[in-house]
Amino acid sequence: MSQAQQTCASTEEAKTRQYAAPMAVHVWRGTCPRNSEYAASRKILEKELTALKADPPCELPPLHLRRGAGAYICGEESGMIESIQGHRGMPRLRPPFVAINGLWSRPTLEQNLETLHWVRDILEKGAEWFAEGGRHTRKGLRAFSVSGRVKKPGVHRAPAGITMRELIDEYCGGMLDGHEFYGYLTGGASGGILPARLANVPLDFDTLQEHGCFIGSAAMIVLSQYDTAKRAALNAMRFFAHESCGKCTPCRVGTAKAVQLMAQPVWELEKLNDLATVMVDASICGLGQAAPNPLKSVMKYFPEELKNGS
Amino acid sequence: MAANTEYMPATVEFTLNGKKISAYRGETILLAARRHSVEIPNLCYMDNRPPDGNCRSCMVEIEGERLCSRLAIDRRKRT
Repeated sequence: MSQAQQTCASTEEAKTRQYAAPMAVHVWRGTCPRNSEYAASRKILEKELTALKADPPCELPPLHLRRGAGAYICGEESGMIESIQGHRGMPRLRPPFVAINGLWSRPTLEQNLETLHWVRDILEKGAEWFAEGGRHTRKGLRAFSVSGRVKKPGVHRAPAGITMRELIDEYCGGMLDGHEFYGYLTGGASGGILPARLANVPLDFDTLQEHGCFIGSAAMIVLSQYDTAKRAALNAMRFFAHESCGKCTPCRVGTAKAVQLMAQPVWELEKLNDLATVMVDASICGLGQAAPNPLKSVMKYFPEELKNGS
Repeated sequence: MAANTEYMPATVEFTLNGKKISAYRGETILLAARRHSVEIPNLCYMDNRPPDGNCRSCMVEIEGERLCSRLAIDRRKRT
């Protein structure tokens, strides 16, 4: 994971520079004070906002840059709203939905920075330009953040619908020397893990659902023969146990319990399946609902790893 | 003599496990079910307190969607 974090830090600046210009609404940027992950982004945003206010292209709406209290859960829309309001970052029960009752009890629209980033290009260059960017019948462009056992990790702007194989070969300079492609985590920690034989699945929204995965943030982690899916899944589950906000029981207890079961040399599959079902069905927000994805992927696609009890 | 409907509390009808029951407006599914002798397991609910909805033991499925602490406000089927 340390390699992945380094990659994030080095590409963060370039990424944020692209994102800084097209913001048109109340903006809040998550920052993580624990490891100051996003300190560089904040500096860039502050600089660009000052420049924008000094020479506004049109009448500007009020823009606020808010420093987050720093937690994975604050990426959940209602958790982020709670955090902005000065409360603990915990998701709200729905209904009411944030589009009806959100920040300061007002109708709220939350947008991903990547979405806002593309708006300007699409307005300037036209929708056709953007749509032509896709591959394998998909449309548009996406910023893929690739880390793991590849020669050129980092954020790569690639066509939506590109396959993992193409992404590695064309954008990441291939696998590291001596490493063979074994599998990949789709969509960050919670997207799920796919084996090398599914390297030709187009990567886009809705294309991974049938394989039990989702693209999420398009953060891909490439595994080689020196990694195991089991270890990657345990690592992800430890992360979720750490980041669970503790509000609802299925997620708070479920992630911790799953870590204990997954740390055993032999997995008790029946118990893990039970746990996964409860977490998916009963957790309040996406964190707990998606946390069992890597676990389920290991059981589905890497059963041979579970046999030897390593 | 007909009852004076002005003073009757408004009710919402819904189907719970295949049985038609009615709830008062603003009543949760949990309480409406309890009045109709259907005990939904619960932990974090306490009488006279607003629902917290964090133990998730009273989860019910409403047309495929799984929910807890839900007010009985519409007429969809509960199973």
